[in-house]
Amino acid sequence: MEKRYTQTHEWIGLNDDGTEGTVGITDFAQKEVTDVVFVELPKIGKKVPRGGETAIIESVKAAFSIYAPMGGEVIAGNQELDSNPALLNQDPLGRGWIFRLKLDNPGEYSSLMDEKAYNAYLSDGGGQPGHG
Amino acid sequence: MADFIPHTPLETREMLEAIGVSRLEDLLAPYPSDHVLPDLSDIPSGLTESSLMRKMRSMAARNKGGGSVPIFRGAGAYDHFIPEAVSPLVMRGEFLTAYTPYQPEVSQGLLQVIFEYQTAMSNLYGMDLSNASVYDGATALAEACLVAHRQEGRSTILISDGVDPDVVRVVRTYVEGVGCTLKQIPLVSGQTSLEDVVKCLDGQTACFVGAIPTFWGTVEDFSGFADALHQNGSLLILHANPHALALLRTPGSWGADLATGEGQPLGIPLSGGGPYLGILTASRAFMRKIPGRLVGKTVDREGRTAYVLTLQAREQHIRREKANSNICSNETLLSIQALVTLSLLGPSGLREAAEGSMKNARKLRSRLLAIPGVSPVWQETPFFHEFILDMPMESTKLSRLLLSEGFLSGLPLAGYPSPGAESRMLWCATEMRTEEEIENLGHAIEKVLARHGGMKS
Amino acid sequence: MTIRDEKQEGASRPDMHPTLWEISRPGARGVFPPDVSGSAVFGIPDVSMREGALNLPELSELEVVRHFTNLSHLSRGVDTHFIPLGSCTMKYNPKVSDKVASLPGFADLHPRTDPEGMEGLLEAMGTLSDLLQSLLGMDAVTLAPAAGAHGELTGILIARKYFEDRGETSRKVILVPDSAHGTNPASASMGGMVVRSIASKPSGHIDTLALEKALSQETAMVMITAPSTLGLFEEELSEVVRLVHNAGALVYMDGANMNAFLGVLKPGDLGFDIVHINTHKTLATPHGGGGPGSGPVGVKSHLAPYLPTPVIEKTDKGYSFKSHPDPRSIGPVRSFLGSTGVLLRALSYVLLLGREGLPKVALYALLNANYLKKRLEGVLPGEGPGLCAHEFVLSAKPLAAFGVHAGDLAKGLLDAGYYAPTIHFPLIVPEALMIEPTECESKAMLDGFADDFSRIVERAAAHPEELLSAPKRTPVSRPDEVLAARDPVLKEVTVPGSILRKH
Repeated sequence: MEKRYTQTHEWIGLNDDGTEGTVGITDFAQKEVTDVVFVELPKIGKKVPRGGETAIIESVKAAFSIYAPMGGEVIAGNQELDSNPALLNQDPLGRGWIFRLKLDNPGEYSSLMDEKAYNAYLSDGGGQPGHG
Repeated sequence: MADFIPHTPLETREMLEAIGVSRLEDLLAPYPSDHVLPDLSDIPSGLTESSLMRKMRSMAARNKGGGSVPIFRGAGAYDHFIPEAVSPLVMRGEFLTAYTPYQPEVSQGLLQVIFEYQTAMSNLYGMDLSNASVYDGATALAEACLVAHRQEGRSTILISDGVDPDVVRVVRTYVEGVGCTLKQIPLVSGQTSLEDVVKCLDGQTACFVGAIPTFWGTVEDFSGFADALHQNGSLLILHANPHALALLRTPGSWGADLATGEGQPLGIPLSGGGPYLGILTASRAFMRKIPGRLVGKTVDREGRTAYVLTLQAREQHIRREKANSNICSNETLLSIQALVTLSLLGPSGLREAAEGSMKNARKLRSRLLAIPGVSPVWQETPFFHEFILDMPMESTKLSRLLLSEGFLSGLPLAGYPSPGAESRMLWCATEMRTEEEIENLGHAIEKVLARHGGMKS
Repeated sequence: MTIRDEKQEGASRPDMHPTLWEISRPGARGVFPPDVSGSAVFGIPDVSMREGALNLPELSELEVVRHFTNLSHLSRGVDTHFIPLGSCTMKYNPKVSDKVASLPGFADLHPRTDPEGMEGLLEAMGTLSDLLQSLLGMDAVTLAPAAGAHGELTGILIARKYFEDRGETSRKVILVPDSAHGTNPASASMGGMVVRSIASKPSGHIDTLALEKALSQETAMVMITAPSTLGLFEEELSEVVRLVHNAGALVYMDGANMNAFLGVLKPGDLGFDIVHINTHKTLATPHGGGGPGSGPVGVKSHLAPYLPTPVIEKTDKGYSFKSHPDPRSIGPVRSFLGSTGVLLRALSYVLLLGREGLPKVALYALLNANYLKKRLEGVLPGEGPGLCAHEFVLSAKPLAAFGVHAGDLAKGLLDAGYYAPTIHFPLIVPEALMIEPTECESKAMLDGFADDFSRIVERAAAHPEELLSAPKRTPVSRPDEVLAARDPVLKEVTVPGSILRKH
């Protein structure tokens, strides 16, 4: 799945018709967070603006907010993370996805960084995930 | 006269020299010079240890403590038996002068004790888990109400009039700060009616709070409460006296989501009101929603059992303004005190103490009802170790007169909301009272009534 | 997913201690409560009675005494070790203060005793109020708050009510520097206020330009820790106070670091409107392994009507409860008068030291901190050569290149026989180690600590693996905190007496 990235280290990948997006955190982010011990998933039906706090992930010593890369309504949370939060460390770009959105405006996608731009952003110093 | 500063004059000089200043006062250079070393003439000269003890002993002697007057008053603080072994164990410096166990490798003793306390409270309340304590029973209940409020953002808290009116006032201070409103459910013959609660339920109801036993001593039947509340998406919170739970049905068994209590009856001295122990327990679903420290069991790098503070991401030092609560310091030493007491008493001892309280309360009630003019408020309502009676004299006056006779009487209920009334008193007897004390109290009341006319003033 | 490395040394560590439930022997009895005769028919319907056994441990008195005594040996307190925890002020807790709190008349006093029966306690609490009023330079004091954070919440609620009464209901914003304790923003949220963080200057001081920009008609209060969490006195404090007051807002002092001011500087003189003091830090009441604390709050006269109930007042007949508390009060913040057992210890401490001893506390706290700071100069980077207040902050950042972090240095210090400094706080300093020696430690202790600290930092660079496997001389090695948090075990689920069956 092609993905786009945010400056706060989330990724989003679209479904075939571009109306839904799957969101997770990048490999860089999972390393910064260290061992994830808990993921607070959003409620289904929650409407979030672009950049709105949608989920929280916790390590032993910190909590991090996960922001929606695009605006939309939460249609799914990754229940597997409830019993196995380590998935977020093991496979952040795949099985460690966090939530799915039904997108308000699929056009927002093109304004996000592609992989190349995100990597350049990282090597530029790219900032740190914000404390929740 | 004491200052607990170990430096010899020579050491002080050497240290000042190393820093590169000549006088201690030079260290105040970063402070605003117009305000440093202010006038302290309104503060007395330091005392020696012996003159301090003399002064404080004479102050203490002007209080009427349980050592000088038998206590027939409860209302949230109880004169229970405290085994002599409790204090020396709790006062051990390794517990008394330790910091919060943030460095687990050198805090295993403290952490294990807190873990054991959490176990004891979970078992006593019949709940899945307990935190490591909050300030007192009132703030524990306030925090539980805030958990219910945060759950769905609902803002109405239904609270039974069976909950201590003074505890309700503390809850009000807390919850009104975040925009919640309290709605009180009146008692009918000392019982909260489920119908009255159901009538109040709506989409804004965060929770209902009931008490075990009520402030007025009565024991309620909460059958059906949990189901009715849960159907409405609301929580059941029960505020329970842990001592009474040796005999009474537990909050967990009534289906409570959160249960709180004042831990003072578990071996903590009356101490004029504190420090006490806030007990906060919950069902597993609220594990990450409750405030306060939690100790968890894990293993060290060599696979040895070890204990740590856990789920800290809920707390203020990590989540700051988004934390579940601002609580940092709690009442760990008092939780140890409760645990040591429970360990020494064991399940049989705790049950015997609770039964002793109930026996004495019934003896007290019979003796008081034998006094002409004293009448019951409720005839048949079941009660634990407290009950209210109508007295033939204004209760505040009667209380004062009995204090001068050498008894701490029942609590005068003048100024209290219904069923409180000017002539009513809330009486209590614990297992500590003797038959002789009860008889002497009866005589003293009769004497006072005879001398002062026994008329309601 | 714990990986257990069987090869690691561990034989020297003692066995962990079984829990009360593991050693419980069904049928064993410890202490018997008073024997009360009479009928055990209580008239309570079965539906409201407890069903099933009460799962508490069953042990002899000696077993209980040994259990807790042996567990105490696995913990460190001020009585046994130097605890250089920054912002925690782990000073000596005088034994005489414990004795005072346990005196009959205080310890056995029912909190709802008629005022005539608690004259001594009222005098003690009134006296402490007066003394704190003077030491804090404030006009009124409440002793009710049970801890520092509780004092903060009290202060926030007071500010909120004050502005509501003035019709300035839009003032809902609390400004908090990013170097503040986490309790400040958490207390503000709990009081229903909106928190905005203001960035500090790289030096750790408040950025007055940023502050000025942040102040508005919506600002209710600015919370300032003085001295700051970096152990520095705000160089522009008077300007900060002036700016906040000009904006119509209040200034709160988080008094967690009041040990640096005790007897030498009064917060009230600096222009603060509200201040709390942690008796379990500055006034030498014991921390108790995490509590009880006590957090009296002082306010200037314009805020006095809002103090929580109950209020003690001085009349010509002595101290008594104010019978008609001000309707503007925020209400009670806890049950009863306060944590009087803690407050009596605080009073004892102030009375022992008196006007001669109190200023020495701050002076020697500054002496010890500055001396230790000097001794550790060059070992790790800090805030520069100037004078600090009662504590100072070092950064372990240079060791990150060796894979060693502040937390690892802390573990090395545990092996060296100390408690650790505060680590990873304040958040604005990377790899922070915050060190507060208090006035109670001797030069010999500080010299020994400085030597050990320097040696550990040196070894960290040369043999990082040593520090990464520390501590080795403690009852357990580093616990698996990830395992603890992923699948929390928060209570003992062992069947009573299970340890006996193992043997």
